[in-house]
Amino acid sequence: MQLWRDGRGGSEPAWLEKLQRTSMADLRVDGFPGVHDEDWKYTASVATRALDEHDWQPARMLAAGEAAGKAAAEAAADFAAGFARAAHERGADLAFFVDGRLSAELSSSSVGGGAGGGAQVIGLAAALADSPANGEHAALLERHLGGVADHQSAITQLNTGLFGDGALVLVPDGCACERAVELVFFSTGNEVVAHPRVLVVAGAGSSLDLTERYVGVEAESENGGRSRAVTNPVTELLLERDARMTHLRLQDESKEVVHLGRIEARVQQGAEYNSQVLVTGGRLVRIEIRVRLEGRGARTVLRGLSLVNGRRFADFHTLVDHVEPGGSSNQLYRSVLAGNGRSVFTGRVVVHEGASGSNAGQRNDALLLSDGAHASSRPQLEIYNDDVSCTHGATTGQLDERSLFYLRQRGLSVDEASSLLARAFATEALQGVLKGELLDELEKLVAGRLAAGSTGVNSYEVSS
Amino acid sequence: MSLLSVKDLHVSVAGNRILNGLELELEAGQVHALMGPNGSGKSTLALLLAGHPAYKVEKGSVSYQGRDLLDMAADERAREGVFLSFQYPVEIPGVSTGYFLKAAVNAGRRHRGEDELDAMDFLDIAREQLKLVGMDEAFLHRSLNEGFSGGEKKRCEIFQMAMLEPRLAILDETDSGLDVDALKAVGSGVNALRTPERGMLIITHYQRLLDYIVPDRTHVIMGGRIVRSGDAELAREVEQRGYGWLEEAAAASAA
Repeated sequence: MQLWRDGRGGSEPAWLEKLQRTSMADLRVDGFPGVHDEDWKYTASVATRALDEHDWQPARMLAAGEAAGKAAAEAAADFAAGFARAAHERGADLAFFVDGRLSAELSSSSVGGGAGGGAQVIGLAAALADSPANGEHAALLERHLGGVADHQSAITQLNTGLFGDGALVLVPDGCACERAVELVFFSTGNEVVAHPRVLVVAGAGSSLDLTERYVGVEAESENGGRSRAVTNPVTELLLERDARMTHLRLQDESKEVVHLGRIEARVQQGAEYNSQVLVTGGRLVRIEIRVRLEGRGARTVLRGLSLVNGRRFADFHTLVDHVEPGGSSNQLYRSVLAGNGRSVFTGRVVVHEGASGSNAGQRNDALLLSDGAHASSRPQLEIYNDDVSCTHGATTGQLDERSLFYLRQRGLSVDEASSLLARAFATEALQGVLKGELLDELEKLVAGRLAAGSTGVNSYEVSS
Repeated sequence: MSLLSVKDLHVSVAGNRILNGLELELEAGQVHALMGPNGSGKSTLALLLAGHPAYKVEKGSVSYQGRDLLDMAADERAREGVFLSFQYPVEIPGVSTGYFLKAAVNAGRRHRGEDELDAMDFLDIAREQLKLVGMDEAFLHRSLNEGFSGGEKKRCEIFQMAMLEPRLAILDETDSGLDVDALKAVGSGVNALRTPERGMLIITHYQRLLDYIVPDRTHVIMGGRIVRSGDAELAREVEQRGYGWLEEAAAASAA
């Protein structure tokens, strides 16, 4: 495979060059995982095929407008304007990226500026370029960028080796941030590969609402075929003592996008990390989530939902490490599958020696709306301590016949009843992390995608 | 023309014959009670009339408002005005009672060519009908039947019936598991819904619901067919004497 480094130009600190070079060397030595790798056997063939496409352009070579083409750039601008308006109304700081690159004009004016009492959001390329003059950021980036992530992950290796831009989010100690931070990654879908990198350092006792949205429009590529793209985002989150974070990652890119993403969180003593992932787009999506409860009493609630139709594929991969005593983790991941959709869930919980009094719950359910759909579930518990409470469960099933009959007896068509039940199933995997307007927005998005209509729930449309 | 006309109905489920030549005529405006011991085919008749796919008609016919009921899918029957109050209402987590019922009411209205109710209109009507069964508006926001007590489930069934305004209502053991208060609420709710256009078939094992809802006719079903019909007095007689004497009488008449 030919891989383009998404470079920033200009001089860069030596540690960064070394980090990126080492990461690419690791990836070359290890090779991108193949179908014989147990963790990748369902995902590998499509992922490597996508990465093997040699004629794809690296996003960083061209300005956003050029890379996207005129029509796509206009679509991006329209899209961004809508997001920016909404973010402004919500009182959020918005950083808008086009094909992985920060667009200053589409972002809030606060991005890149001072903290102003809340979280500080800085473009990563800018933070790195500035670093010789900005000792504070340089030291912080050197210490934490790549310091949270697990370098054994191929997704991380690829991103670390090739990232060009992204965001650095700094939350001051004790900051109860009223303004949410919204990062929007817009993919023009025009045969580009983007490797955005996000680092969030949440100071002691702070609280932050963070959203990452990966979105795009359906676009024709220049040779007239279906547009394609690869998005490979890695987000590193460091929650210092007693920090709280609510984090949404929404993947709603066009249905030709290959999305290989990873979230890494280190949760220190008394801190709480709550994550919601929603996958509604993409051709192949793999999202890896690793949470390390590395301080006493650290907590995490993890929720994930994927809606998978047509020939699409979605893979959730979670790893929760209970390292210190008294931690708790609670996972619920669900998928709704139609057509020939396919989903995979691999959930690993490791309770380390010494992590006494840990409480870990994990649940994974798949709802199959068609005969052609398929779901795989692989829960893995590794417990090296006696004094713990761990539960896990996995189900795969179809719509409940008794419920269907009950709803039909009240006059709902098969289509309407199926849609209602599928939405109820899906919506449960949106509870427990988000609330208020953001939760409403996701519930509406899911309801819209699973709505009964002329196409029927069994072939529900995924539009972008 | 009868609202419901069942002729020589033979029905099996999973290869077992449950109904054996059942005959029943129900006129609009009438309330009929159907009583019988366990396993006599009461619930089979209820579910069959509602269109449950597990039941197979071997022989006979069912006509509803002059149309072949057996030719209609379950949801079409419902939109045409057939309502079943379930013996065991299904708990459906994640679907709010209000949302579901508005969808159901509007499915019927669309079918009849009427305008759909918006949320405000729906709420106005729902508030009125909730009073009928002594339920609080908060029920509309709860997941359908989830965590409802036995009494709440049955009140909710009658509330749905009031909202859907069926032509034919079949109440399948609506009295089972109810305390006296719930029984009274259900009884008065049902009485309020007795209209000249509506026919009701009240299926019960015991007579106690019939203290509150006095039927125009009472039928006793045994072995999958009606063995005796009479007026409200028959229900009291069954309550006093049990079913044994009817079984003997049926056997004697068959011999």
